[in-house]
Amino acid sequence: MHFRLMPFKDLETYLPGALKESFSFNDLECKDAEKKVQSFTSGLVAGLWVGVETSYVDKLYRDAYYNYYSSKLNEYKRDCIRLSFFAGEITLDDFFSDKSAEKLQDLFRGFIVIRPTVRNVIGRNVLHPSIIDKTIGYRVSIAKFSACIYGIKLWVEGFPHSSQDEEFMVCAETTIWATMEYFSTRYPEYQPMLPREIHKILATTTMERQVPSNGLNGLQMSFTLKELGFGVKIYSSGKNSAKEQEDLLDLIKIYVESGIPLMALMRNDYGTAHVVNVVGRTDFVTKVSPVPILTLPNGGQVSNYYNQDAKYLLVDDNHRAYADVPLDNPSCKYTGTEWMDCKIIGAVVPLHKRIYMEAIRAKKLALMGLSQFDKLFKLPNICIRLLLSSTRTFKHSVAHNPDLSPEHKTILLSLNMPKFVWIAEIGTQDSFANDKATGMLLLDATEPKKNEILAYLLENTYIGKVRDKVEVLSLPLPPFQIHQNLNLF
Amino acid sequence: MQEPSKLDSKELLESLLAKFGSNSVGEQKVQEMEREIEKNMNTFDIAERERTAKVADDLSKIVITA
Repeated sequence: MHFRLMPFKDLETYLPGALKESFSFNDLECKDAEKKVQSFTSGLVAGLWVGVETSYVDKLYRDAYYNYYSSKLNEYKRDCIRLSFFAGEITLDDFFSDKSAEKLQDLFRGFIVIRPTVRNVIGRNVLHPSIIDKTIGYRVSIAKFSACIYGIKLWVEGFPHSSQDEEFMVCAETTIWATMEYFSTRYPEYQPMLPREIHKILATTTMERQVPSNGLNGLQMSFTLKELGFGVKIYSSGKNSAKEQEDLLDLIKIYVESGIPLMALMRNDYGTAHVVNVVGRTDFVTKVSPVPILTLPNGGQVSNYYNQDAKYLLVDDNHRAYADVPLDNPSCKYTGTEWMDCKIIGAVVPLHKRIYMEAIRAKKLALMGLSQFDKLFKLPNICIRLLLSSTRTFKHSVAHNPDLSPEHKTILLSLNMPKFVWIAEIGTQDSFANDKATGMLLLDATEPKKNEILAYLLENTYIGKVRDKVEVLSLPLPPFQIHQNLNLF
Repeated sequence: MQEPSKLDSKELLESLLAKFGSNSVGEQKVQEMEREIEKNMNTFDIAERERTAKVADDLSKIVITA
């Protein structure tokens, strides 16, 4: 292998030679590959340094190579080129001592594999969200990936991405692969999955050849994830009325806020059908819309936290990771007319198999709980922010919440809770603008039929179990920091 | 009132109940609230079953190829 460091700006002049030497690309293929790399790396922060490593063995490309490309007449090379990114100047000496290896870790911002597949050279990559030159905060679901760069093991947090090669894997396989990379890196109960293994799962239910790939339908994608251990939930926008569209996007926002990256299916009337991972959102740029979604018995109005303007972050195999788009115009980064007017018409949500209550029911139950609570204690105009969390993460966040009193912490940390909870945080336009809530309901996510509200913390009142008996306590509750499952960059 | 031990969460909870557990809303009212929620959710669950039955059909018609 050959490893060379350079300022990122010099990559443009160095890359053509590396492509020709490693992949035996002709001039035309080289130009196309350079264009793809340039487009993929545009909009990165200034001052980056890049390491270019040739003869790199990439597990994802090798899966496609051994199962497909090697059986062709034309020669496809086995090895790839890997670009690794650092947020500052480094030298090869930095790779030779423990102390400077720490510096490398501090500066490491991810890697991109370039594979020898003409026209679609961008392979597996993980980029730290801070590498994107942006003017607004990104809130992202991330996992920690390792990469051995010139002998040094480095870590990068990000969401995995690859472009499709349009032959062995198209967007359907790519999104499943990215989903499994993410979950298997974060949680030990899942396994990473290469495209050939995805094909194997579907082999017995597929009625024609699987390679070259003709894509998958939404149900096949759901089936694959179910076979891989998820308690998958699927949604569609039905007949695509404005209300059905709005409801679907609301669900997607709830799951994304919960830190569950999901697959969103989009389609338009020109025959384009595509799928992407939705992995986070930008900061909100407006306050919560005051338009109510519910009027309480005593006249107070409830508005929806997710009725605020933000762009959502896509891992789309035709663009760079974390493409920020409005959910109601998910194909806005595309310039071709065939991509015009795409709408999200379905979602495949990889839930943990122990989450039995899904988002639509949780929302209904939370709103019902507020209505009934209002009959006992009048509620003012409020906003509701619904999200799902594991109890481990929730209790960790309660214990570290700087605003909750020792009394609230004692009650919440002592509460018997299931593996997962739905948290319905209550606040006002202004409190949520400052990431603060003024109350919350906790719902048991392992009860799909029984209406189990574990606790109400509203209007300085706590209703819920204390030592296995339902109690009502008058307990002052100041505005408190909201629960976050997404990481801010 | 005696200060609770800082070593036992059970004692902390008992102390909390003694200090803050005097709300006039009784157990019966909370049970009524739960019954009312259950009644309304039953209606919701029936409607939701019909809606979700169509989702698999919708998704089976979308072949993702782009």
